[in-house]
Amino acid sequence: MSKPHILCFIDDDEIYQYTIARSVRTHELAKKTLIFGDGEQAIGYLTENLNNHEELPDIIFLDINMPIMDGWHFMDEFISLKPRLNKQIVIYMITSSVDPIDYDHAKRISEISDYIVKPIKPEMLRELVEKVERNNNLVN
Amino acid sequence: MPLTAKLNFSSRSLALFNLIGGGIITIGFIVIVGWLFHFKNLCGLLPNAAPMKFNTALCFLLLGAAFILLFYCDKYLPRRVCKALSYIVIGIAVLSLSQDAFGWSAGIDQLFVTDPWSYPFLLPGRMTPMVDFCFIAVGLSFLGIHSSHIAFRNMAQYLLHTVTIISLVVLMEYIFSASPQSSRFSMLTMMAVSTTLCFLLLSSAASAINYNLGFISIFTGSEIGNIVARKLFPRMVVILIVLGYVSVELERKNYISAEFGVILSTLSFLLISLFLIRDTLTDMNRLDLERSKAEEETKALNRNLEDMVMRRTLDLKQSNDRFIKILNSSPAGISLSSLDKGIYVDVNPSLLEILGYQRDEVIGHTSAELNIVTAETRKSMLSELHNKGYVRNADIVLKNKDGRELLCKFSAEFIDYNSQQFMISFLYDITDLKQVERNLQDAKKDLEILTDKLTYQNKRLLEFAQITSHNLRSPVSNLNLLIHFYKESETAEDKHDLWTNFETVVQHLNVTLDELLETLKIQEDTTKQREELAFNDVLSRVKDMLVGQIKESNAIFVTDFSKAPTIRYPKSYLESILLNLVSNAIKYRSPDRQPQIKIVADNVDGQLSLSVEDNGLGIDMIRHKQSLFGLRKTFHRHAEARGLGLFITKTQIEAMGGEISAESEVDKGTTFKVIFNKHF
Repeated sequence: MSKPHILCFIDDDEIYQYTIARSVRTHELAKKTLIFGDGEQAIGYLTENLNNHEELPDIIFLDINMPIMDGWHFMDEFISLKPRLNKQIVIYMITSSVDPIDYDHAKRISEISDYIVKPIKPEMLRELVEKVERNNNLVN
Repeated sequence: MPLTAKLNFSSRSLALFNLIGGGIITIGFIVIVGWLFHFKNLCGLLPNAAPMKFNTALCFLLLGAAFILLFYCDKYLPRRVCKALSYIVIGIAVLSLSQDAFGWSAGIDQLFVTDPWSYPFLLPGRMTPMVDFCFIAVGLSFLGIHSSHIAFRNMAQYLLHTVTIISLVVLMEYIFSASPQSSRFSMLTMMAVSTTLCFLLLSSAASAINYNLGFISIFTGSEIGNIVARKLFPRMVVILIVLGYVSVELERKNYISAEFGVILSTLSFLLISLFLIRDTLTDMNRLDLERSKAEEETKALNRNLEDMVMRRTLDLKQSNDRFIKILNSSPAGISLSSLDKGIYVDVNPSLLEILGYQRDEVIGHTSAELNIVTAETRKSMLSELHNKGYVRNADIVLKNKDGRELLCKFSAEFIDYNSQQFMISFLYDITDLKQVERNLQDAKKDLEILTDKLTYQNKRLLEFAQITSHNLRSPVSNLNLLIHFYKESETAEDKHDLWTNFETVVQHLNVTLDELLETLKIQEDTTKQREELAFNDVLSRVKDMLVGQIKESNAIFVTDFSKAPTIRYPKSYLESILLNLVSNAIKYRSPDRQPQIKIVADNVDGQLSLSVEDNGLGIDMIRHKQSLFGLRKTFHRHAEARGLGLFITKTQIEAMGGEISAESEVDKGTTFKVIFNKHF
């Protein structure tokens, strides 16, 4: 079963980056994986590939606490970029924060599909990806 | 002329006087008419009576008018006219008399009319000398009646009495029908009966003007003697006249001899006098009884009054006793002092106790003399008293005898005593109360500080919980995942690879724990030893520590510690704070500018502050305001950014009761401001 999606992870934690990359690889969850250490780098990539359908991610896994541009700042930038994007992108917030303020904040942003507290195990990641695939199939 | 007081007759008396004056004028007028139309009866007023001379009638007309005007002499014109009329009458009479005296004719006798009815031995139209005299006397008395000299007034009064007596004598002659021709005496006094009546009326009425002078005063007083006089005299006059008449008539008709007539009339007079005296006596006794009754009543009233006064005095004394008791037992210090100089007139024991003086040291002295109150305080209290009429619970500072300052509540009011104004003042010593209040306030302040401290210790604990959550959760979750992979790993190479990652996470965890421990240490050690530190010294040590970076960045320092050169603070903290802020300023310098770091110390109302301003990259404050001082927050992609420095700095400052804040603009620079003693 060939995986149709490009997954994008935005997180400054190198160990997390390692574990995610490994999970995706092991379970063959993606056609392609993008990893950025902070929001600014990710926005830079999206801006560069605005019309490039093949390079834009289908799902973004976004951390909150990052240097330079944190998750919230990224969402602001993303929302202003969204009308010009050539693709429907699903965003999951993946964070170690159990702060109810952060949770409520995420709930108020409609572009964020879900708020998931770390750690995220490979199976859970697969379920999330497959859920998006099912939805996309329904739409198609 | 001081007349007004003399002319205060009742309106009834005044009407009577006017009536008399008017009557005289009328008589004069009628007689003049009689002369002009030759009615003899009209001239004599009575049938067959001797006629009044024309000139006499004229004089009466003028005198009648003058008499009325006597009562209006307080005004200028009536006074002048009255005098003028009197002078004219005197002039006519003098002229007429001089004719008799020197035997010449001035041509005034028949100036207006001819006199066909004159007695043969008299010149026609001429007034008799007695009439002349009477006119002169009445005229002169009118001139002197209002004089300010008592002598003139007395003279006027006796002149009038003389005229009254003359006219009475003439009247007797008429009544006893003595023939006018029968004696020399009669010739001198010869007057027409109407003239006589007019003189009698005029002279007696005019003598009533100065009723307290001459014989008239006998009848006008209100003493018992005056009453007797008023009662007896008219009756005696009437009796004498009647008796005289009867005896003269009897003698003339030859019923009795002259001697017997005298005996008869004398006896009758004695008898009637006895009745009169008895009658008067009864009246007098009745009056005396009434008077003594009135006296008794007055005495009773007096006694009553005395009783009342005594009762009042007793009441007053009781209330005075009560007042003194209140004064002596009142806890308030009460004093009575003169308003002008502030001399103590009376003070109560409480005041003496408050001020520490003996009574005789205070009475008769002023508060300024004893240095109890300053001149300004007294002045301001007095002006408040004058403005509002009272002072209530004003706070003032007094000095007692030992010179110790006392805080007092002061109230005062005016009080009238012996028609002099005094100030009564009430004093409460609230020095101890104030001390308790201050202690309470201090305690409250301490509590507030404690609450503050607890509040933000609480806040820091919450922050710490967040930090633990954020900074410990992620390595732990990473470890979880790594363990998961390790279990599933099949190759040795893979296991080794995972192991390296384990090491990284553990290291990471170690660092985080170290940092947390460091902050915990700072938070626990709030009683860190403070010492006097010069900002300049601390900065130069910091510069020594950063010598490499400063050289490399070519940073310029601008400092101003003039407003607050030193501070009492833990040395290691101040070094650490300054080191962090300065190294941040160098670290996040702009590549386009030479870094300039401005450090200024300030002291605003005892709040010591230090600001560190740079011209570096700046921070997006809108976005990062919340997380600026958080742990592991970095805002620049920079090799050395660990996100630790500001968190430690903030922790140290807050542990010492301070506050740190930042202002920044991207690509302009950042200013950190530390207030060292914001909370305690």
